Amino acid sequence: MYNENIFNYLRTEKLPHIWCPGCAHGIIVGSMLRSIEKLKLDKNKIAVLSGIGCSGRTPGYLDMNTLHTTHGRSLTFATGIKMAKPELVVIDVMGDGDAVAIGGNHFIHACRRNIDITAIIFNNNIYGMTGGQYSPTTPQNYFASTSPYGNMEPSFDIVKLAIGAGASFVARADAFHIALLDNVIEKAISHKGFSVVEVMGTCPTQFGRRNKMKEPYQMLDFVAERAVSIKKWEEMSEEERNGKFPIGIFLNENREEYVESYEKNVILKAKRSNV
Amino acid sequence: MRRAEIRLAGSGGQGIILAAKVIAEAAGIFSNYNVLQSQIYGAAARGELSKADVIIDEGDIYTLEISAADILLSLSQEAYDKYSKELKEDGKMIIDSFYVKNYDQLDKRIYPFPISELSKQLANSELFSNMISVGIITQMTKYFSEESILKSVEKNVPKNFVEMNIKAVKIGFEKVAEKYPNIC
Amino acid sequence: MSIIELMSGNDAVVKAAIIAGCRFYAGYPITPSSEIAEGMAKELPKVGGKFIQMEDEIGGIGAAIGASLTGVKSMTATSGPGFSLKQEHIGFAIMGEIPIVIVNAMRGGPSTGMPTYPSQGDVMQARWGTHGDHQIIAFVPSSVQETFEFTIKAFNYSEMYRTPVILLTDEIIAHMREKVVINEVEKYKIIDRMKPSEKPEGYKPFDTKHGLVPPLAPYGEGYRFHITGLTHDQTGFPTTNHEIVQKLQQRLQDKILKNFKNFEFYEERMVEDADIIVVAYGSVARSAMRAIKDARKDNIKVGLFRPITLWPFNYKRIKELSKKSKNFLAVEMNMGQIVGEVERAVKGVKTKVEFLGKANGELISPTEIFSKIREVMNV
Repeated sequence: MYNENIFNYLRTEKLPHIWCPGCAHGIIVGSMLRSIEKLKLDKNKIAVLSGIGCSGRTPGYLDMNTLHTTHGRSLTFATGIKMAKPELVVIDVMGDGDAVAIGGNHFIHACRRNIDITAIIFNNNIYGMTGGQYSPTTPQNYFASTSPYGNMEPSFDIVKLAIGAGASFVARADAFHIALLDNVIEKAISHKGFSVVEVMGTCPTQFGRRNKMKEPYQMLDFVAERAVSIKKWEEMSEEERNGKFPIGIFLNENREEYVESYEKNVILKAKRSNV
Repeated sequence: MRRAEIRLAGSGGQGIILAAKVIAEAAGIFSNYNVLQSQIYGAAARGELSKADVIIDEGDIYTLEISAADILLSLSQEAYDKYSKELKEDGKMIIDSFYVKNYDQLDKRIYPFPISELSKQLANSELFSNMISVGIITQMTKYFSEESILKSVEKNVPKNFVEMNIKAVKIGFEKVAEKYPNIC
Repeated sequence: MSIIELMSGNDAVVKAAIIAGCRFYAGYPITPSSEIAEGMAKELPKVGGKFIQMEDEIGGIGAAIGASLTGVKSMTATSGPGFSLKQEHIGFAIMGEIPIVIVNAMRGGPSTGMPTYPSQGDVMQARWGTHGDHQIIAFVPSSVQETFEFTIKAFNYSEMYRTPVILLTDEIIAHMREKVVINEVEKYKIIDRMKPSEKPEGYKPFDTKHGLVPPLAPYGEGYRFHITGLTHDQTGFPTTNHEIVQKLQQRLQDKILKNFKNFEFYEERMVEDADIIVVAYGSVARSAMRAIKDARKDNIKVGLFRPITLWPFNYKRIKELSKKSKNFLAVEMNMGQIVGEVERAVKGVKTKVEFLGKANGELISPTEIFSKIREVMNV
């Protein structure tokens, strides 16, 4: 997995990063960079955006056009960037709070438009930076600083949400199965249209500590043990599925992309018309 | 000319706003006056009360709203009921006598015309009531020339309908000349 | 040759934005500003620009800021409730020093208020709506012609000072149609943002060696810089170093305040011998113009000060005027906002500041202003 060429895409002077020992964010960023390197993308032509929280710090480490935006709203900025300069590869890094809590509306509409942006959701099931409050993806009955008696809320299935909202590439991977992670991120970035990759990550500091998994390996085990391939998932009973999640590519469709469609359908028609 | 305040009122769908725009451009673009045109926003899509105002002045326009009109067009009973009190002492009110049945017969400021009937005679539709009214107002006020209003109509209505709309405006001119030759 | 068109304030914004070089618009429908979105949806693609109707107001300004970072002049427009929602990203554009124009066609508030009636209730929100210390440029035109001209200026000063600029109209100005003289496009002074002249290596997006306004490179042209809403150093990366942060705060203040003379627009009428000066702006200033003319006929020595640049507020000019006139009368379609700024301006001077205002959706009439002038002057 080690690939020293990825350093070409890093602002190495900004390292070490701020993430805690055992945090999976670095694993996801490493995978992103291997994919970008493999695709031989020009770093001058990549824009990476983020929202707020631990994942929000990602763009700062990347030697690209980077924008650390507001909480949950990064996709709106990404939409403006992609529309105004379609030749840029736009990657939007979000936390679970960004994507499906405060930014849920932006997320579903970006899916619906099928605009060519890659959304990578660093799902650590918790608000890490603000002190471990429960998020819309905290599993039921787990503890967070705002669910001291156990979280009673059902959680979001981001994959189903993205498919339902109209994204044309939807995958889930996790911080343990690295070959799959590399594979789906590479495919997501190459995909023309809105691609969503949910990456099940870890947060030993805020999630693990409150849920008897304070050691990094325990948290990584927690992810690894719950992840099952789509194929296997299909064969499992409801009971067997309990507490687990499927990983892999759920949807990969070629559908008309938003900006191309705007250029073809709106700009051309407007220039021809005299209204 | 001194400040003139024109209020056009009727039901949504009667083309009140277009008529106001045509009058405003006749005065502002095709004659060299200052103009201000405004309208009520909101509920007037279909059938509800619709109102548009045009202010014309040689000098700058500072008072943005009409408190009492010099010219009031009422194309519906509701428009008459609501605005007839806001007519100046020396103002003139033009009403569509087909729709406004209940009005003060003794009020010398009121000039009834069978506007929607005339439109139906012209095109088997009431669509041209607004432009017939525009013709009537032009002729009764002389705020701007016939030429100005015809140019404004040409600019503001869809190409395919220019001819019919111009006919409608001219019907307005003629009816005033027939009925009130003293005004002309 | 120049042309004359009859257009509404909202139409004028659209026409002027295209002339100013705006090529991206993102927004959300809201009365009474929706015609701006409709106009941009129609006109932008004709000139190769792009329009998007976003999922909400926050998204509208977010997308506009994103587009601006690629070097494209961008705009969003809204009214009352939408202006509240946009505040978060107005702050982001201030902190990231990203040019953008925001139009707010003011309507009655608070909350949903009166969507189809005017107010001037958002003037303080334009100043202080987003959290944290900041300066803002806001223009408040009084006619459709002025709306046209100040839309162009809004883009120019936004680009020039790398800052959001707010154009405050109201339901009356937005919807009324007036004659607008439009010159040949070449006649308008159009200012584009300064791009870096140096090579990408060593480029810093907040470099103070260029003075108060650092050049801004567009995304995608080799500069690879970072922008964050966090306090940052000259490289654009986050810092909490108090000294650096204070310097940043000071520069953000200075770049607006020290350049104020470049965009200090106002109109004065008959102030020289005035015993009372009416302070009014936007549509209300039109009524005030009538009122002072009528009052002069009655030999009341009244003048008018009409700020067009509302923010930063022109304390200095009001203070100068307070040496000529013993009375000020602030007239606004709100329950008293700018009147407080007039009071601040004349602090320490023996000048009375009176107020006339209402927030019921009615334009304040010339008669009401005239009566108030009589009352204050005791005549």
